[in-house]
Amino acid sequence: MHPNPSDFFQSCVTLLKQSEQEIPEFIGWELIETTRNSIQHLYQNNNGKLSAHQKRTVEAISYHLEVFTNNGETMGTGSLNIQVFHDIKHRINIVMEMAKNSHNPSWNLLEPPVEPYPEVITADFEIVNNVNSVLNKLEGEIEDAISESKNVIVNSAELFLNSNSIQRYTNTGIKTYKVGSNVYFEIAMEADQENNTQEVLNIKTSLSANDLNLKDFILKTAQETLALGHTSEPKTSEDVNILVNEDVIADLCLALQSQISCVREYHRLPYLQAGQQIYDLKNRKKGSSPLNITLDPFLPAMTDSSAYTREGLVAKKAQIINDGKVMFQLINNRFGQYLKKEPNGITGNMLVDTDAYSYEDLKTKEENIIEIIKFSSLLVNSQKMTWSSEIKLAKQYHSDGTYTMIKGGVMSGNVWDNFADAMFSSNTGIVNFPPNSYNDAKGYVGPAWMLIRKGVSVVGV
Amino acid sequence: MNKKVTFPSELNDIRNFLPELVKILESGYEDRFYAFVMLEAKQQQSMMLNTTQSTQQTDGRGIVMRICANGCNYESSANCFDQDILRNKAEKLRDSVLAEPQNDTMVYQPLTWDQENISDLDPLMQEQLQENLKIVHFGTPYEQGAEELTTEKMSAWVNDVRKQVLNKKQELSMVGALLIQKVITKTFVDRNKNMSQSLLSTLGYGYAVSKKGLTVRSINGGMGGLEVATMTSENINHIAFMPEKLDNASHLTPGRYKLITGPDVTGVIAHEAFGHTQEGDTCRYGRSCAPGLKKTNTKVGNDHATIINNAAVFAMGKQNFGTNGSHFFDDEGQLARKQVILDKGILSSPMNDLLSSLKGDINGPAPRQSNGKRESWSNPIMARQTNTYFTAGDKTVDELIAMVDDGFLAQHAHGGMEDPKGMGLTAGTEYLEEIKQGKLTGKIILGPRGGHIELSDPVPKLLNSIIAKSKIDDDTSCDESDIPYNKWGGCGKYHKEAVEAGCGGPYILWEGINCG
Repeated sequence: MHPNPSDFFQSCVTLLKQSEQEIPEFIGWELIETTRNSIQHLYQNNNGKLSAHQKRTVEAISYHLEVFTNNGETMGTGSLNIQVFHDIKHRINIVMEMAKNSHNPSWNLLEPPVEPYPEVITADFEIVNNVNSVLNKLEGEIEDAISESKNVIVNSAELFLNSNSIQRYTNTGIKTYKVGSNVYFEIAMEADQENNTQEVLNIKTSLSANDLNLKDFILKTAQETLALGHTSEPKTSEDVNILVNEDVIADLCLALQSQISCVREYHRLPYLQAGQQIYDLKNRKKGSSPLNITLDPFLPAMTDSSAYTREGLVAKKAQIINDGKVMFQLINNRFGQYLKKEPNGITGNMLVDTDAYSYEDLKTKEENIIEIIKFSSLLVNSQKMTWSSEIKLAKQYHSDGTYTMIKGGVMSGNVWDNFADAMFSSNTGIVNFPPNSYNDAKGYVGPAWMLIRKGVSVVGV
Repeated sequence: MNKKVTFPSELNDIRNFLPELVKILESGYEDRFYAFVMLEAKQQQSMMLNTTQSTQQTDGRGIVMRICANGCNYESSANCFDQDILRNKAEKLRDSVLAEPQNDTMVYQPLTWDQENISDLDPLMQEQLQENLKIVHFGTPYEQGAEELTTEKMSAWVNDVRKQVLNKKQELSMVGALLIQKVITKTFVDRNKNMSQSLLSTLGYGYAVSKKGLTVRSINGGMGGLEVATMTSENINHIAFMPEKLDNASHLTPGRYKLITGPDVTGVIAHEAFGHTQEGDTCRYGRSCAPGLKKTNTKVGNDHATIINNAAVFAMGKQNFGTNGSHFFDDEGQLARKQVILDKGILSSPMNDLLSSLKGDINGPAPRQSNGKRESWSNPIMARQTNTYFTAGDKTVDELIAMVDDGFLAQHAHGGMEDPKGMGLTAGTEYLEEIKQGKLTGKIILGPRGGHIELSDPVPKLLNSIIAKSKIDDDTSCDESDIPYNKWGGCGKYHKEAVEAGCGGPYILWEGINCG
C-alpha cells in the first residue's frame, strides 16, 4: 500500500510538472524518496561479557531526482539529490543543465505496466515498527548463546537493525513503493588459550529477525573456533579439487548472472546470450551436476525480492540457466530498445538446483580435496570470469580420510572451468546479504556445497 | 597553489547553532560526559562517459551528536536540520545516557587550543591557524576548484580522454573516462574547539576493456582541483596499448618469485602489513597480534621495514598536493599528525581513535591519533588508516631492476586483505612485467587462470625479505616533500565500511613473494 507522499515530495512533483511545461527539452523525470532508520550497536569483551562500546541511532530522509532531456540528436540524463533545505526549483535547474551536457542514444521512457505489481514481502514489520523490542530480544539471544559457548572468548560483535522505505514516481505515471528491513550481525571469537594466531569472524544477515537463529549461529561459530588447530601453508599445485560453501557458490553464480545482462552486450563487454552453453555437455567428468539457475523475485523476505525492476517493469521469475545453457538474457527497457530486444523484467534471487550428493559423499569423490572454510577476500572478476584469494582457513583432506588445517597461500580459479565438472550437494544453503557500500545485494538459495574439480590452482610451499 | 577552499557561507547558520547542541548534551555533566557535534556537508559532481554518458551531483548534509561516557560512544545522527528537532534529539540522547548504569572510570577531558602542540603540525595547518582561535577553518589548496568546473568542462574533459585513447587505438571493446570532484566540509564543535575543514579532492580515471574483457586503467587524483587529475600522454598510451598486450599475455606458473613492487602495490602492502594490524580498535578487541608483539618487543621486519601513517600528507615528492586519505582533523576532532607505526621492524603503539586510546589494549592506554574515521555521518566511528606508506630508500628504480636476475615488476594494484590476528597478507596486482638479467623484457604475465595475481605471505616473512628500496625520485633535488608518492585509494575494513585511504611508498625489491 502506498502511503501519502510527504509534503516535500509532493512539492517536488508539483515543481517538476511545472518545469516540464516551461522547458521544451525537459522530457522526463523520476523522483525517489528514501527514508532510513538504523540502530547500530558495537560490542567488545568486557571481563568475559559483551558490552556495547558504541550505541547509535540514524534517521535519514533523502530525495533523488533524475531528469531526461531531448538534446536534439541525443538524449541527456542527469541526477542529483535534494534535501529539505534546498530550493527545489534551483535544484531542478541545476540538473537540467547537467542533463543537457550528457549525450546518449534516445530511448522511450517506460510507461506504467498494464498489469498490477504483485504483492511481495520485502520487510519484517517487527523491525520496521518495534525495533527496540527486536533489539532487546536479539541482545538476549546473543547473551544466552555466549554464556553457553564454552572455552571460547568473544572479542567483538556488531548488531545493526535497519529499515527503510522507498517511494518512486515518474513523469509517465509509474508509482512504486517498497518497505525494507535487514539485520546485520557479526561476531569474532577465538579459543580461550594463550598465543592464539587464529580467530573466527562470522557474519549473519537476514531481512527478518526470525530468520536469523542467532543462537544456533553463535554456537556453530564457537564449534568452528574450537576446531581450529595447528595450520600450515598449502602445497603449490596447478590443479586442485576444492569444496566450497554457499557463500562462494553465490559469488560465482552472481558473476555468471552478470554475464547475461543485456547491458554488457550493448557496452561490448564479454556477455552471454540465450542459447549459449557455458560448459561442454559431452566432455563433463562422470557425476557432474547440472547447473540450473532460476531468478525468483517473489521469495518472501529475501534481499533480491521485489515486485518490480529498477526501471519499473513488473518483475518476472524465470529459469535463466538450464544444464549450463543460457535460456534468457536479462533485458531492461533502455538497453532492450538499444539492442532491439523485448524487455523481460527477469530479476530476483538466485535459486540453484541441488543434486543428490551429501557433504560426506562430496569429500570422497576426489583425492586430496581442500575444503575452504573461509577465503580472506574472494575477488571474482565478472568480466574475465576469474577469481583469486588468499586462504584464510581450510581443511586439506588426505587419502586416509584424515585432514590437516591449512592457511595462507593463494588460490585462483576460472569460473567457466569451475562449473564444468562441478558436483552439488543435496542440502541447501541460503545467502541473504543486503547491499552495503562494498557489496551488492546477494540472495541465494541452493546447494550448501559444491565440489570444484577443474580450473583451480594454488600456490603455497 | 595559492587558493584555499573557504568555509561555505550557507553553513554559517547551522554552525552557529552547534555550540547550543553541545551545551544541551553535556552541560552540568562535564565531569562525566564528553560531548561533541560534527556537521558533515558533501558536495560532489561527477561525469562518466563510455558507450553512454551520465552526470551526477550530490549536495548532502548530516549531523552526528556524540556523548562519550561510561566507556561508550552514544550517538544520534540525522540529516534533519530543524533546530527544534535537533534540540529534542540532543535532550533525548543526553537523557538516555543518564539512564545508563554510570561508570566514571574513563572520563575524557578535551584539549584546549593552548594545550595543543601546534609546532608539530604540518606547516599548511599552522599557517591556517589565526591568532584568534575561536573559530578555525582549514582548507585544501587548489588551482581549479569547484566554482570553475562546470558541467560543460567536465563533459569536455571526459570526451577528450576518450577521444585521445580512441585516436590511438580503435579496436578496443570499450573506452571510458570518469571525472569526480568533491568538497567535504566537516565542522567540529566541542566545549573547547570550533573548527572546520573543507577537503577538496579530484579524481580523473580513464580505462579501456580488451576484446577478452581485461580492463586497463589509469587513475590520477588527490587533494586539489582539476589540475591534480590531468591525464598524461603516458596514461593515454597505457590505456590504449596495454589491453592488446594483456590479451596476448602468458599465464603465471604459481610459485615464489623475486619481485619489485611499484608505489601503488607497495602502498597496498603497507596498508595491509601492520596497517590493519595496528588499528587501535582491532588491537583493543584482542583481534590483532600487534599488541602481543609490541609487548615482547619482537622485531617483525628488517631495517628497511619502516611504515608511516600520516593524515597530514599535503605534498609528495615533486607533487605539491596530497592524496585522498589526507585530512586536517579526524571525525572526532583530533588534529592530523604523522605516526611511525613500524620503525625498522619494531611496532609502535596503535593508530587510535578516542575510545581506543582511553581503553587501550594489553599494553594499556596509548596516545590518541587522528584515526577516528567513519564512512559518513550515518556510520559508526572506527580506527581507520589515513595515508599509509613505506619510507623511501637510496636506490634508483633502474638500480633495483639491475639487481634482479629473474623476477617481475608489479606496478598496478588490485585490492588487498590482511588477517590481523594470523598475520596473513594478500595484495593484488593486475599483471606482472618480466625482468631477466637485470632488464625489463617487455613480456607481460597474467595470473595462473588469466586473471589478476595475488601476492601473499605471512607478514613477518614478507617484511624480513626487503632487499632494497628506491628513492622517492631518481633526482630528489626538486622534491617538495620527503613523503613518497601515495596513490588515491580506499579501505573497506573487513570489506564493510568504505573510507578514503591513500597508500604508497617507493619501489621495493623483495627477496621472494608467493604469487598466484
